[in-house]
Amino acid sequence: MMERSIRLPAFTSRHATPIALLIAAAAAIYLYLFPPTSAAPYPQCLFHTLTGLHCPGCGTARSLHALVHLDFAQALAWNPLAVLVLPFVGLYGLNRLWLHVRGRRLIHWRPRGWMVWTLLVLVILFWIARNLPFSPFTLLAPHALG
Amino acid sequence: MYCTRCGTKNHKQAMHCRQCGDPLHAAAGPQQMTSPTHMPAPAAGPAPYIPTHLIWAILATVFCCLPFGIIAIVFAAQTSSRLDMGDYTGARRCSDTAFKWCLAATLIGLLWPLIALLLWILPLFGLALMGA
Repeated sequence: MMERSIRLPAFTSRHATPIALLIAAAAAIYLYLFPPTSAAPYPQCLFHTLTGLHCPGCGTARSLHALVHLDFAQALAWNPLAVLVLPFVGLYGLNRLWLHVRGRRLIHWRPRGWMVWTLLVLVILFWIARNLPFSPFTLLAPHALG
Repeated sequence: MYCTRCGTKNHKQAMHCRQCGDPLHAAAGPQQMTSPTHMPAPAAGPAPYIPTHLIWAILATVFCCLPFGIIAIVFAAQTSSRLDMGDYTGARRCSDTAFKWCLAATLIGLLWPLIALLLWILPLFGLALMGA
Protein backbone atom coordinates (compact mmCIF):
# COMPACT_ATOMS: atom_id res chain seq x y z
CA MET A 1 0.00 0.00 0.00
CA MET A 2 0.99 3.59 -0.45
CA GLU A 3 2.77 5.13 2.48
CA ARG A 4 3.25 8.85 2.64
CA SER A 5 7.02 9.27 2.74
CA ILE A 6 7.04 12.96 3.64
CA ARG A 7 5.08 13.72 6.77
CA LEU A 8 4.79 16.96 8.68
CA PRO A 9 5.87 16.86 12.35
CA ALA A 10 3.09 15.74 14.71
CA PHE A 11 2.87 19.18 16.33
CA THR A 12 2.34 20.86 12.96
CA SER A 13 -0.27 18.28 11.92
CA ARG A 14 -2.33 18.62 15.08
CA HIS A 15 -2.21 22.39 15.28
CA ALA A 16 -2.27 23.16 11.54
CA THR A 17 -5.60 25.01 11.70
CA PRO A 18 -4.79 27.43 14.57
CA ILE A 19 -1.28 28.00 13.18
CA ALA A 20 -2.69 28.79 9.72
CA LEU A 21 -5.26 31.17 11.24
CA LEU A 22 -2.59 32.98 13.26
CA ILE A 23 -0.36 33.33 10.20
CA ALA A 24 -3.31 34.61 8.14
CA ALA A 25 -4.23 37.15 10.85
CA ALA A 26 -0.63 38.33 11.19
CA ALA A 27 -0.32 38.62 7.40
CA ALA A 28 -3.57 40.63 7.20
CA ILE A 29 -2.34 43.09 9.85
CA TYR A 30 1.06 43.40 8.16
CA LEU A 31 -0.62 43.93 4.78
CA TYR A 32 -2.95 46.54 6.29
CA LEU A 33 -0.09 48.53 7.84
CA PHE A 34 2.58 48.30 5.15
CA PRO A 35 1.73 48.71 1.45
CA PRO A 36 3.80 46.34 -0.73
CA THR A 37 4.61 49.30 -3.00
CA SER A 38 6.57 50.95 -0.15
CA ALA A 39 10.03 50.09 1.13
CA ALA A 40 8.56 47.53 3.56
CA PRO A 41 10.23 44.14 3.17
CA TYR A 42 8.12 41.88 0.94
CA PRO A 43 9.34 38.75 -0.82
CA GLN A 44 9.83 39.34 -4.52
CA CYS A 45 8.47 36.85 -7.04
CA LEU A 46 11.23 34.45 -8.10
CA PHE A 47 9.67 33.82 -11.52
CA HIS A 48 9.30 37.56 -12.15
CA THR A 49 12.88 38.22 -10.98
CA LEU A 50 14.28 35.54 -13.28
CA THR A 51 12.18 36.11 -16.42
CA GLY A 52 10.64 39.58 -16.11
CA LEU A 53 7.26 38.02 -16.93
CA HIS A 54 4.17 38.00 -14.73
CA CYS A 55 3.22 34.72 -13.07
CA PRO A 56 -0.40 33.90 -12.06
CA GLY A 57 0.43 35.14 -8.56
CA CYS A 58 2.08 38.46 -9.41
CA GLY A 59 0.24 41.30 -7.69
CA THR A 60 -1.26 39.12 -4.95
CA ALA A 61 0.34 41.05 -2.09
CA ARG A 62 -0.73 44.42 -3.55
CA SER A 63 -4.18 42.97 -4.26
CA LEU A 64 -4.61 41.76 -0.67
CA HIS A 65 -3.38 45.12 0.60
CA ALA A 66 -6.07 46.85 -1.44
CA LEU A 67 -8.60 44.31 -0.23
CA VAL A 68 -7.96 44.82 3.49
CA HIS A 69 -8.43 48.54 2.73
CA LEU A 70 -11.75 47.57 1.04
CA ASP A 71 -10.66 48.90 -2.35
CA PHE A 72 -12.16 46.11 -4.45
CA ALA A 73 -11.58 47.67 -7.88
CA GLN A 74 -7.89 48.17 -7.16
CA ALA A 75 -7.65 44.64 -5.71
CA LEU A 76 -9.03 43.25 -9.00
CA ALA A 77 -6.61 45.43 -10.98
CA TRP A 78 -3.57 44.07 -9.15
CA ASN A 79 -4.55 40.39 -9.39
CA PRO A 80 -8.10 39.23 -10.29
CA LEU A 81 -7.23 35.56 -9.64
CA ALA A 82 -6.29 36.23 -6.01
CA VAL A 83 -9.60 38.02 -5.40
CA LEU A 84 -11.71 35.34 -7.11
CA VAL A 85 -9.97 32.53 -5.24
CA LEU A 86 -10.24 34.17 -1.83
CA PRO A 87 -13.92 33.28 -1.05
CA PHE A 88 -13.12 29.59 -1.67
CA VAL A 89 -10.06 29.80 0.57
CA GLY A 90 -12.26 31.44 3.22
CA LEU A 91 -14.89 28.67 2.99
CA TYR A 92 -12.17 26.04 3.18
CA GLY A 93 -10.73 27.78 6.25
CA LEU A 94 -14.18 27.86 7.86
CA ASN A 95 -14.58 24.15 7.14
CA ARG A 96 -11.21 23.35 8.69
CA LEU A 97 -12.01 25.51 11.72
CA TRP A 98 -15.34 23.68 12.15
CA LEU A 99 -13.49 20.37 11.87
CA HIS A 100 -10.96 21.46 14.45
CA VAL A 101 -13.54 22.70 16.97
CA ARG A 102 -16.52 20.40 16.39
CA GLY A 103 -14.79 17.31 14.99
CA ARG A 104 -16.75 17.25 11.74
CA ARG A 105 -17.06 19.17 8.53
CA LEU A 106 -19.56 21.97 7.97
CA ILE A 107 -19.68 21.52 4.18
CA HIS A 108 -19.56 17.96 2.85
CA TRP A 109 -18.68 18.80 -0.69
CA ARG A 110 -15.60 18.57 -2.82
CA PRO A 111 -15.05 19.92 -6.33
CA ARG A 112 -15.48 17.30 -9.07
CA GLY A 113 -12.56 16.41 -11.30
CA TRP A 114 -13.76 18.42 -14.31
CA MET A 115 -14.03 21.57 -12.18
CA VAL A 116 -10.41 21.29 -11.07
CA TRP A 117 -9.26 20.62 -14.65
CA THR A 118 -11.23 23.71 -15.78
CA LEU A 119 -9.56 25.75 -13.05
CA LEU A 120 -6.15 24.51 -14.19
CA VAL A 121 -6.85 25.56 -17.80
CA LEU A 122 -8.14 28.96 -16.62
CA VAL A 123 -5.03 29.57 -14.50
CA ILE A 124 -2.71 28.71 -17.41
CA LEU A 125 -4.74 30.89 -19.82
CA PHE A 126 -4.61 33.70 -17.24
CA TRP A 127 -0.84 33.23 -16.95
CA ILE A 128 -0.42 33.56 -20.74
CA ALA A 129 -2.99 36.34 -21.17
CA ARG A 130 -1.55 38.69 -18.55
CA ASN A 131 1.81 38.62 -20.35
CA LEU A 132 0.40 39.62 -23.76
CA PRO A 133 1.50 43.22 -24.37
CA PHE A 134 -1.62 44.50 -26.19
CA SER A 135 -4.86 46.12 -25.26
CA PRO A 136 -7.50 43.93 -23.64
CA PHE A 137 -4.92 41.65 -22.03
CA THR A 138 -2.87 44.38 -20.38
CA LEU A 139 -5.87 44.80 -18.06
CA LEU A 140 -5.00 41.42 -16.56
CA ALA A 141 -1.41 42.44 -15.77
CA PRO A 142 -0.88 44.09 -12.38
CA HIS A 143 -1.67 47.78 -12.82
CA ALA A 144 -2.47 50.76 -10.60
CA LEU A 145 -5.83 52.50 -11.04
CA GLY A 146 -6.14 56.25 -11.31
CA MET B 1 -10.05 8.48 19.94
CA TYR B 2 -6.60 8.72 18.36
CA CYS B 3 -5.77 8.06 14.71
CA THR B 4 -3.61 4.96 14.25
CA ARG B 5 -1.83 6.55 11.32
CA CYS B 6 -0.82 10.04 12.46
CA GLY B 7 -1.78 10.11 16.14
CA THR B 8 -4.20 13.03 15.86
CA LYS B 9 -6.90 13.15 18.54
CA ASN B 10 -10.33 12.91 16.94
CA HIS B 11 -13.94 13.33 17.90
CA LYS B 12 -15.56 10.18 19.35
CA GLN B 13 -18.06 9.78 16.51
CA ALA B 14 -15.61 10.72 13.77
CA MET B 15 -15.49 8.27 10.86
CA HIS B 16 -12.22 9.60 9.47
CA CYS B 17 -9.17 11.28 10.95
CA ARG B 18 -9.52 15.05 10.70
CA GLN B 19 -5.83 15.40 9.90
CA CYS B 20 -4.82 12.63 7.51
CA GLY B 21 -8.25 11.32 6.51
CA ASP B 22 -7.61 7.69 7.38
CA PRO B 23 -10.66 5.75 8.53
CA LEU B 24 -10.94 5.39 12.30
CA HIS B 25 -11.53 1.72 12.96
CA ALA B 26 -12.89 1.73 16.51
CA ALA B 27 -16.44 2.45 15.27
CA ALA B 28 -16.38 -0.34 12.65
CA GLY B 29 -18.06 -3.58 13.63
CA PRO B 30 -15.60 -6.42 14.30
CA GLN B 31 -17.85 -8.99 12.59
CA GLN B 32 -16.92 -7.42 9.23
CA MET B 33 -13.26 -8.25 9.82
CA THR B 34 -13.78 -11.94 10.63
CA SER B 35 -15.07 -13.26 7.33
CA PRO B 36 -12.16 -15.14 5.74
CA THR B 37 -14.21 -16.33 2.75
CA HIS B 38 -14.81 -12.80 1.48
CA MET B 39 -12.29 -10.34 0.19
CA PRO B 40 -12.60 -6.99 1.99
CA ALA B 41 -15.00 -5.12 -0.25
CA PRO B 42 -13.53 -1.76 -1.24
CA ALA B 43 -16.94 -0.23 -1.89
CA ALA B 44 -18.32 -1.11 1.57
CA GLY B 45 -18.97 1.75 3.94
CA PRO B 46 -18.54 5.45 3.20
CA ALA B 47 -15.89 6.52 0.70
CA PRO B 48 -12.54 7.27 2.36
CA TYR B 49 -11.64 10.90 2.77
CA ILE B 50 -8.63 11.60 0.56
CA PRO B 51 -7.45 15.21 0.48
CA THR B 52 -6.89 16.71 -2.97
CA HIS B 53 -4.74 19.49 -1.45
CA LEU B 54 -6.43 21.80 -3.99
CA ILE B 55 -6.63 24.86 -1.73
CA TRP B 56 -3.00 24.48 -0.73
CA ALA B 57 -2.04 24.10 -4.42
CA ILE B 58 -4.01 27.26 -5.33
CA LEU B 59 -2.40 29.19 -2.48
CA ALA B 60 1.02 27.96 -3.61
CA THR B 61 0.21 29.17 -7.15
CA VAL B 62 -1.04 32.54 -5.98
CA PHE B 63 1.73 33.17 -3.44
CA CYS B 64 4.84 31.21 -4.36
CA CYS B 65 5.10 32.36 -7.96
CA LEU B 66 6.55 29.13 -9.27
CA PRO B 67 5.22 26.51 -11.68
CA PHE B 68 5.29 24.06 -8.72
CA GLY B 69 1.87 25.27 -7.60
CA ILE B 70 0.50 24.58 -11.11
CA ILE B 71 1.95 21.04 -11.00
CA ALA B 72 0.24 20.58 -7.62
CA ILE B 73 -3.07 21.67 -9.20
CA VAL B 74 -2.54 19.04 -11.94
CA PHE B 75 -2.24 16.33 -9.29
CA ALA B 76 -5.15 17.77 -7.28
CA ALA B 77 -7.24 17.50 -10.47
CA GLN B 78 -6.08 13.90 -11.01
CA THR B 79 -6.98 13.09 -7.39
CA SER B 80 -10.46 14.58 -7.92
CA SER B 81 -10.99 12.65 -11.16
CA ARG B 82 -9.93 9.37 -9.52
CA LEU B 83 -12.21 10.05 -6.56
CA ASP B 84 -15.06 10.62 -9.05
CA MET B 85 -14.31 7.22 -10.58
CA GLY B 86 -14.04 5.53 -7.18
CA ASP B 87 -10.37 4.63 -7.71
CA TYR B 88 -9.27 5.26 -4.14
CA THR B 89 -5.82 3.65 -4.42
CA GLY B 90 -4.95 5.85 -7.38
CA ALA B 91 -6.51 8.86 -5.66
CA ARG B 92 -4.37 8.27 -2.57
CA ARG B 93 -1.25 8.05 -4.77
CA CYS B 94 -2.09 11.30 -6.63
CA SER B 95 -3.01 12.97 -3.34
CA ASP B 96 0.42 12.13 -1.92
CA THR B 97 2.12 13.46 -5.06
CA ALA B 98 0.07 16.67 -4.85
CA PHE B 99 1.12 16.95 -1.19
CA LYS B 100 4.80 16.72 -2.13
CA TRP B 101 4.54 19.39 -4.85
CA CYS B 102 2.62 21.67 -2.48
CA LEU B 103 5.27 21.19 0.18
CA ALA B 104 8.08 21.82 -2.33
CA ALA B 105 6.39 24.99 -3.60
CA THR B 106 5.82 26.21 -0.03
CA LEU B 107 9.39 25.52 1.08
CA ILE B 108 10.82 27.29 -1.97
CA GLY B 109 8.36 30.13 -1.44
CA LEU B 110 9.58 30.48 2.15
CA LEU B 111 13.29 29.87 1.50
CA TRP B 112 13.64 32.10 -1.55
CA PRO B 113 12.96 35.39 0.35
CA LEU B 114 15.46 34.26 3.02
CA ILE B 115 18.12 33.63 0.37
CA ALA B 116 17.31 36.97 -1.26
CA LEU B 117 17.58 38.68 2.12
CA LEU B 118 20.97 37.04 2.76
CA LEU B 119 22.20 38.09 -0.71
CA TRP B 120 21.11 41.61 0.14
CA ILE B 121 22.61 41.66 3.66
CA LEU B 122 25.92 39.85 3.05
CA PRO B 123 27.44 42.54 0.75
CA LEU B 124 26.55 45.13 3.41
CA PHE B 125 28.45 43.07 5.98
CA GLY B 126 31.36 42.91 3.53
CA LEU B 127 31.34 46.71 3.16
CA ALA B 128 31.16 47.14 6.94
CA LEU B 129 34.12 44.78 7.41
CA MET B 130 36.16 46.60 4.77
CA GLY B 131 35.38 49.90 6.48
CA ALA B 132 36.46 48.49 9.86
